[in-house]
Amino acid sequence: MDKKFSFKVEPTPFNVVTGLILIGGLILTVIRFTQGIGAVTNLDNNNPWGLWIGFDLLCGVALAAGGYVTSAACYVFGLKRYHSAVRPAILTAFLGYAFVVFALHYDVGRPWRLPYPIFYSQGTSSLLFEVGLCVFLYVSVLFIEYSPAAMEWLGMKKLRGVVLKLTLVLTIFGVVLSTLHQSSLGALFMIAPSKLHPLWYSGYLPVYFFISSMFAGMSMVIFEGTLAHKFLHHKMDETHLKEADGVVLGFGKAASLVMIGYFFIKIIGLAIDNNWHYLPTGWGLWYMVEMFGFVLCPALLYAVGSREKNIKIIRVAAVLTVLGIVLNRFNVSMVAFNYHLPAADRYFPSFMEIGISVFIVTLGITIYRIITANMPILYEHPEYKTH
Amino acid sequence: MSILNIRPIRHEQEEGNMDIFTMQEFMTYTKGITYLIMGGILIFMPFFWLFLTDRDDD
Repeated sequence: MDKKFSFKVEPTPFNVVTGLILIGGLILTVIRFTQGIGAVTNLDNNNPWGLWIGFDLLCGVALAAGGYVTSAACYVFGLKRYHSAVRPAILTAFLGYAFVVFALHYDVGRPWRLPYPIFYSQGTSSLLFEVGLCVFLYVSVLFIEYSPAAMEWLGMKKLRGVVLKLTLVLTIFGVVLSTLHQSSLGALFMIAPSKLHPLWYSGYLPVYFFISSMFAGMSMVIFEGTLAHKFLHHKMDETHLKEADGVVLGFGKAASLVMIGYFFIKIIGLAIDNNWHYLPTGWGLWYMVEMFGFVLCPALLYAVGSREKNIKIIRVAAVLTVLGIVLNRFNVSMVAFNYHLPAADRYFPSFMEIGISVFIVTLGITIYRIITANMPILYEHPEYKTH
Repeated sequence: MSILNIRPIRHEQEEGNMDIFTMQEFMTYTKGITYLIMGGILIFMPFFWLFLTDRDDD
């Protein structure tokens, strides 16, 4: 296997649009870091957290959960038939988390101070410290978990052997860290019971965030697999292609079960807080759109799809679930947050905020394409066959 | 008008529902509903599990 770096850029419409977005994003980045956060965002004292937290961070972390879900299924629960899905899931998770940290710089500013909360001034009583520490450790874990692919590409056999021996420990550490910070992201909003609408506010927010991250991760693995099959089919080996349908069916079934459980604990949350009377309001209608349209509906589609062995239905359910996770995180962090404020004081992201989020996602996809074009992610390296 | 102006919290507008005056009553009401829902879930879940798995080959 050659170690040559290859990335052909042909003038396809996709590449042209990608290039334009990246150039636009770089310009916005310069404006953000030279003119300040106020120059590019609609954030204010009422709404200090906007799209960059709601989408880049909350959705990014939830949708990157495929890493811990897939590696736990394969290495902790011993479901080796999902082995071919581990590397793409780990790579997506690693890039997802790396770009969460990257995106956070736009919000926080002063990038040279990034290590401060970990090494210099720990705020041990703060949930944000816990999230920061977990993300710092988990990005490191994901990098080590991903590194064998890079080592195979570079021909570093000995070091690869050492890292592979750590797989189980890293997987367990990854699951523990994910449990902690996925739930802590929900717990962040428990500080604002008067600001978040009661239909979304709950003492169980950490549980909701953690459980929803499980099916978010599984759905993202299915969704990403669908895209990879369509656009990177030529990069996949026989094992990957043979196991792909099994991954979709297995993850679809697991996601269905977890989503039904999530739907029920949300109903229990309504009952515990006695929030039924909010349902026949406008907010209640929006809540039901989220719960029925983007939780119950995909859960049933997953169930029917895995029972009928219908891959298409499962893929539709995966798209709905991914959209549902985005909708839920948007509702908690933006739509239902500060719900009592007059319309003039409500937050809506500026086009530059949206532009930077699009830029970050596009950058992530581009790097994913570069890595999969060179390293053994969607296929097994012929010199390191495990089967 | 009462000096203390204490009025019961009505959990719904409809007539005939119990009024809630204390935390004890609130917990009794909400826990009662929650236990009923959980009973329903316990009955539903095995059927859902059967629906998911009864066509499995292995």
